[in-house]
Amino acid sequence: MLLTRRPRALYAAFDRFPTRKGASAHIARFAPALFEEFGGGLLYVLGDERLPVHQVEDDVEIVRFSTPLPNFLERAVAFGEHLARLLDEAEDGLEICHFRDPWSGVPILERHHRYATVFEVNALPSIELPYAYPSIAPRTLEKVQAAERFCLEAADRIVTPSRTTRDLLVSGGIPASKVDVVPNGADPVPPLPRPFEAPDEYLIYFGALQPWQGVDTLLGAFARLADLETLRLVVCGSGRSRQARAAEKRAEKLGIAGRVLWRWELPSSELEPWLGNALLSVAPLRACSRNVEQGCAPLKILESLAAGVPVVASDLPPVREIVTDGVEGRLVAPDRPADLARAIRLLLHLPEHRARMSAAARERAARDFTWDRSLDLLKGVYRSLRSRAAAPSHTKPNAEDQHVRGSQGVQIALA
Amino acid sequence: MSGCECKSGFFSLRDCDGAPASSCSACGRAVCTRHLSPASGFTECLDCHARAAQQPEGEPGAKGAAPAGEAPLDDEWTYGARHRFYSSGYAPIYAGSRHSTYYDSYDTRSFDETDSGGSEAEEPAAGFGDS
Repeated sequence: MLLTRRPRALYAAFDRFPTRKGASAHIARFAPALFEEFGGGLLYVLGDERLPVHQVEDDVEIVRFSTPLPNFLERAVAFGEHLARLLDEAEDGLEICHFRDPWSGVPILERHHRYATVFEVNALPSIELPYAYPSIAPRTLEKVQAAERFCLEAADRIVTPSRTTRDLLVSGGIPASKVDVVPNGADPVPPLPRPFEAPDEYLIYFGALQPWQGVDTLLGAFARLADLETLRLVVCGSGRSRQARAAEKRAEKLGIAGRVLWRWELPSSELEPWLGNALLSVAPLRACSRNVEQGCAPLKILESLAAGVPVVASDLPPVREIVTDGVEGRLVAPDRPADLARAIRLLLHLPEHRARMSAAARERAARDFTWDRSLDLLKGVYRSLRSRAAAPSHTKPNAEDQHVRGSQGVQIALA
Repeated sequence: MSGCECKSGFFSLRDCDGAPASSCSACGRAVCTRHLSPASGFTECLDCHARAAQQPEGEPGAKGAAPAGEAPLDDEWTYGARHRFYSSGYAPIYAGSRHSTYYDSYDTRSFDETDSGGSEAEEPAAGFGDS
């Protein structure tokens, strides 16, 4: 026996939880909404040596896959295999399974099942993994893409935070009727005292430092603002990764190391005062396939709006869904440090303009991007699926399917 | 014994501190009734019981693992032993996920950290959204 009770709902994510990453913040919102609708459930996530492996919290059971496997794919496959074992035990009582990635989705979808399924697409591994693993083999990427495709086609419903992502899925043949946009949200941040070590005037960048975030562009832009002697750049990174260390080196190379303050893994209670007292928040996203084709819904932009901090961001389709140029901030051509520097300089010289943007930002966040609104939309998706829970098996593989598919065994022909 | 040494909470974890009922036979921590595993017959904490269930069969610590000093001749044990041997630095042969035939050793080599171009995913336990 792996579980202490029989869950009616499962939320599965190949992500560590809880952490200070955006994925974790998302899980912390969505999983409780699912469990609220179904009277509790099972949360299956990734753990590490510091996190409990098994928790029972009132009507929620949490299982963290914690076997230390250094290879990402080996870890992902083992994660899915353990999920299959949990499903063996739990599937009779399950009414719904919500998952965030194909490593969770394949074990959920490939078996005969009566439960409804929701695929939450925040990102597609076939697009994002090559950034993290540039040497990924084309054949391997095809397999990842096939698994993704299988999940997109077999899931009853798909939710995604970005219209750009929805358009990509629909253009790939997924029926628009089964894709719902559930935007990310942000809690309003009241005015907060300035952190004692904060400079008088500073820009802020916060979040992870993956290549698609464009932090290089920001550092290049900041180097062009050297004449603004009192201005500082504060970078609040979600983890001191190899890329974070590379960014620090880049700042040194540009001669701006003394004007950049680095802060790592701040809890939200410490990050919010830094954010709320910044002159501007910068989101210099690159014009790459991850941002332009796949889409994204950067929490950093939403949280900046909710804190009333004007945003200077890259002019990309998913960003336009959140920020209107000249209203809550400025949108500038991506990957152009000179353009970014010019937009920042202009706003720094227009305090009244910034004040108007700040008010507009708070208003926009309160109107369009609250978690309450997002969770209402999500619960609407769950409710529409409830009646299907008692319907006959959703997956009816034939004999050939059963022969070809093993655990994680998606047919490549689906690609 | 002071309070239960297990963790509680959903997004914010804290010490349970419940009244200890026993100590875990695997890790020795003081554990309250809420954190004792019913499936273990209330002898292990939930964490230890779940951790053992996640070990590949035949690995040390797994349920039904071979006794120390013995080398049973079943396939599962052989796979586990071979994986440990090859992952000890001798050769990059992958035999970890016995039940999976979808991804093979050629696929997993793409994700060896030494071959990656550097990423947030360098953290040893990172998942997809952590990248």
